[in-house]
Amino acid sequence: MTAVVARTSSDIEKFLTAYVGEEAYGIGVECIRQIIRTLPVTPIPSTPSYVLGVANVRGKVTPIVSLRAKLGLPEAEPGRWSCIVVVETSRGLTGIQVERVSEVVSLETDRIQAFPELHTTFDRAMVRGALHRDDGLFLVLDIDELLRTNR
Amino acid sequence: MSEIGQRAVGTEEDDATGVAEQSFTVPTDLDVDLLPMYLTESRELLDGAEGSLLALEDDPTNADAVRDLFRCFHSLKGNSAYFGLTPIATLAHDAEDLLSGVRDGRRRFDTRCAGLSLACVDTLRAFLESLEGVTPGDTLTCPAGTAGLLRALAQEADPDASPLNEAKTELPTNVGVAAGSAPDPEPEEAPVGKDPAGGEAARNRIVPSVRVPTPRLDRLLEILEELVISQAMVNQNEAVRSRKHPALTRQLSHISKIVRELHDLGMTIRTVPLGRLFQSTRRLARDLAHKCGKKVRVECLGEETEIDRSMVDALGDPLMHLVRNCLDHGLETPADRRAAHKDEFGTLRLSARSSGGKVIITLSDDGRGLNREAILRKALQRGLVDAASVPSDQEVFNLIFEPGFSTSAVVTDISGRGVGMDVVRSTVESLGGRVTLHSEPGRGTSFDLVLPLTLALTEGMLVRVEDRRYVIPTADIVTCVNPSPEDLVDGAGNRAATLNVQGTQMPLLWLSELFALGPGVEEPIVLVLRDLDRRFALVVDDLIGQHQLVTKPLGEVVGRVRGIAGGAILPDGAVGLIIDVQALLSIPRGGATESVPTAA
Repeated sequence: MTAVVARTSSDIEKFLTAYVGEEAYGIGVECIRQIIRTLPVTPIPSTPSYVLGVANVRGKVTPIVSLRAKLGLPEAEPGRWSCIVVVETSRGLTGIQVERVSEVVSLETDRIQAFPELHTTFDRAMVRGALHRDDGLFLVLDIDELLRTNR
Repeated sequence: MSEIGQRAVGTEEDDATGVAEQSFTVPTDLDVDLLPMYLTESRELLDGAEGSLLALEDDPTNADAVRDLFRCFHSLKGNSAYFGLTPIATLAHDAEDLLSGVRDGRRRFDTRCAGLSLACVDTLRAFLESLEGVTPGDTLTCPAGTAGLLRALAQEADPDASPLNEAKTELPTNVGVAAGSAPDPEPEEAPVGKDPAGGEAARNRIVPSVRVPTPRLDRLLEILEELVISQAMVNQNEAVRSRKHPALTRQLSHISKIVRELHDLGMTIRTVPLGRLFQSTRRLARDLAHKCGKKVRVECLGEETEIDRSMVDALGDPLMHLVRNCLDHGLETPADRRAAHKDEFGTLRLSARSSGGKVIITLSDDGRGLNREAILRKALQRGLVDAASVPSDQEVFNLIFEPGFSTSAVVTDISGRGVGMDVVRSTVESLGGRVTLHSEPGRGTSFDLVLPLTLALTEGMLVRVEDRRYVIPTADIVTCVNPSPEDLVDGAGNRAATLNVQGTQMPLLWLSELFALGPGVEEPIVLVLRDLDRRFALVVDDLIGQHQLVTKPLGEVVGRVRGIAGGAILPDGAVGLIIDVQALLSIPRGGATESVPTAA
């Protein structure tokens, strides 16, 4: 459960770096339960395109969503390094499919700035903030908002 | 659910003089480790007291109820005194005094007495609430209305009742939650580690029990589920199925039996009787009736029916709303009822029964029934219905569940959450159930809440369409037929809409079409399915086999998918989707629309 905790400006938060295409996104580690390479996913009829289906994660029937689809990006082949990041929120366990994961980064909370872009292919509430890094923009995701089921 | 407890019933006891409530200090030597147990037991005592009070209201001569009531307040007084929680002990003592008058025949259990007693229960609950997470030495304010209540109780007290000071010294000093010698164990459970039968031979309905933290129980049940699945996988193993090893087969069959028994036992741990929920609802009905000036008799049937404990909390609000609806709109005033040659007292019946893998909770009244015209008018106004259409009575009645139908932001005691009939339906659906209603003008209305028993092992038939596998609950399958391809097309060469099976013509559905899966095979298999008393035929590609499976919801992120009841782990580890047979008939031809994820 991602707890809302009062943070002082010198707080450090850790994020897993996940890639969709060339863009890097941060997922807070406190909500990550597992990272799985691949998994048979059972598709479900008549669900939004970002719902890939359900899968058996440690004996639990777990919904799997596609980060790419949630970001409103065009479909693409999953790729060799794609994996599923299993997170736990107030909605239970959910698997988020991403194309690649790399290191866990530690960031000072006050380095995360407001996300500037006004025109996005996705709901802005999903991004908590942004950070400029040498290799580009790092978008910190709000997992609760990401999994929020709006249109 | 907590709303009910927080509302002080006796508004006639409101402190109109504006006297500030007393404050009290939590004793500095309070043992915080024991506090949770004290709070739990005290709450149970108060629930028991409330139940007895409601029973007494119905039948003031019920001597058992008076005795139980006395015992509850007495125990609460003793326990509270042990912890040094004087205001609570005092209030409990005053309640005892009031009731001693009833017990000794010096006064009747009249409306005033009932009102005061219930006000005591509410105020004591509020005290307990304020003690949550408290630190020794803290200063707390007594709940609103306490001073007024104490005054009212003093007024009612017999002239020769012992003054408060004396009463304090009378309080037993050896009563304690942890001391292990509580003379009056609560109706439900005995403290851990003590001999529960000691001195209470008469109370033979007490079953010895222990307290187990819920997470531990949940984990136990989770492991049990894994066991069921693993065992199914073993049974699928070639070596077992080949029957080449009779001894092995026999031993495994024995294990299956044991696992099955373990599972059934597990199910009873998971569930709680509905009685507690019914009691809260009953209390609410009584309070609301007093407020609206209506007279109601509440009947409860099937209180011992059990449902999954996770559902009990969720059902509180919907039931509250249905009761409110019934008392506001359904039941007529006593005058109107007399004019209609009905009993002045309306009847509100709460009943529960289990059938198959489901529990059905019914709330019905003998009031005026739903007004078709008024509903249709409102629905037209809100654009929920096409002006040109002529809906059936049932269709009109079902409109009250549409979002947008309920009057917005009705200010009610249920605290302006905007609870409407649509929330009742969506809450029940999010639990995997459904709501239906029936109504007859002048005769009354009834609502059925049909809920699944989770952790139920469903026997299912695994079927295949294209490369997808689905499970159809065996209980819903009537039979299976192998029609020739000609039987499945109509005169024009299109897919037939009906099929004649053993003399009966019935609707014909293709699973591949319902889930937009593709053409299907040349020579499919047809299953005849049942939904209550309806029959229909479903075309699938192939039957794979029967399995015992545990149904799980798909998760909030996916939401409710029309036609799918949930998912289950199949013996090979993949997830199979379980078909909701009842819903198949309502999916429009050409496939269902997108699923509606449950509230964010």
